[in-house]
Amino acid sequence: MGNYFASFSDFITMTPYGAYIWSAYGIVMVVTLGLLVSSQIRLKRAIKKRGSP
Amino acid sequence: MKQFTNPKTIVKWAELLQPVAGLMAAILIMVGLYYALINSPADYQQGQAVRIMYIHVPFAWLATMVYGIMAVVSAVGLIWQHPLAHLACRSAAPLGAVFTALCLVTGSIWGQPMWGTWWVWDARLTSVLVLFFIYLGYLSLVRAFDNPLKGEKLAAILVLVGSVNLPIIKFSVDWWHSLHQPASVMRLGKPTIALPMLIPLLLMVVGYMSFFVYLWLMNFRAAVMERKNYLKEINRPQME
Amino acid sequence: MKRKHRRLVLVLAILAAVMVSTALVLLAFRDSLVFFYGPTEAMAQQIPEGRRFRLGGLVEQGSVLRDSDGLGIRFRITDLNQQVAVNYRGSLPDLFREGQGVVAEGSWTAANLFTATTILAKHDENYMPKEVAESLKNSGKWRGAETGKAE
Repeated sequence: MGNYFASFSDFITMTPYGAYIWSAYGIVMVVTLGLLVSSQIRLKRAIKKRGSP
Repeated sequence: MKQFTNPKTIVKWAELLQPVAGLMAAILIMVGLYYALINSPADYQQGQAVRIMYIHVPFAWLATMVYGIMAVVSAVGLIWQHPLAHLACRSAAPLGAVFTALCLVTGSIWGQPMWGTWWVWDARLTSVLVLFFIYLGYLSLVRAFDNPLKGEKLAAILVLVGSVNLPIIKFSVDWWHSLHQPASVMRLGKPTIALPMLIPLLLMVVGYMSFFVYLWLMNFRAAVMERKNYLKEINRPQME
Repeated sequence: MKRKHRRLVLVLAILAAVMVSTALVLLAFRDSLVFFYGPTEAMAQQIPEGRRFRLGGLVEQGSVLRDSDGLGIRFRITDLNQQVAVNYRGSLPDLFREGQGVVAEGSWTAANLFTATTILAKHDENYMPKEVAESLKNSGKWRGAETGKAE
């Protein structure tokens, strides 16, 4: 597991802060994907509507 | 100058730059996550919890940067009345609000194990919360009118008035004793972060800045099309 | 004056007015904007016993004494000018340690004795791996809170 973690379980637990770290990254990633998807849907809709008079 | 401010040219540039920003964001955030979570050391004081910094600082910077951009385009819209300026502002606003919320949430998750509290009412935290409310105020004001042009104008004034909060956020940690620590990177003199920690931080910062540009251009293009439709609708002769 | 210029002047005037009035408000409330007092300020303020406030500074090197039951702790908060003795019973944040920043919430219970009900840790703006911190200390280039002035 690279130079900074002894093992994979060491990486997962990030002793003793795993719960904080993973929940912070989890929230950020979910919101990132949400922004990505919602913006793409909006643009697609706008392009579609432009086609029809 | 005229040829650069032509709305058609601006939309064309937005179409061109959007995929470039998207690609940059994807690469930088992927590599940044690898460094942030796997290939960087624990801090001598904070241990592994320092990794939360790599997703807290990008949103803290973006929260104020997006607002600064909104203030500039609002001024352009009010003074020079460029037809796309207010659309650029309202395309950035929801992104700024979400980034500010992420900054507050990740900061809170970081504060609990390190400081011993989820939240305190110190000058830095409070002024960023005020920024979040200004974003919400902008978003509700800009939608409050049947005529979107009127709402955008009033909301642009709100953005300019609210921009007084930006220097307060930046210097709150220097002007008043606060629980939040002073700046580590955006300061006079060298950063106070060791290189192996500065690498993931800068990757994530530039990555999320590109991500913002990508989303902003996408929202902006959609807003321009929606505006064209709207203007067509209201100018169509009414058939009774 | 062209209309464009009139709008420019108007926007700048509004901005200047907002900035000046905000600065005045912040100056007027500057005492309640600080999150904590340092020991020197806290002693100069003559805060009566029992009134709650926050006291912040560095945990003085070598001052921490733990009670035998493991819950109570006594230490001194310093701003490298004045020191205040602090009593506390309860849990401590992970970053609480000698030489590091701390903010204690509580009140005076005797002359120069502060009894805290909450302890928050304050960390500084320095980030580095453990090995770097150790080599800096060994080479005498350390310029952190423990030996000198907290930057």
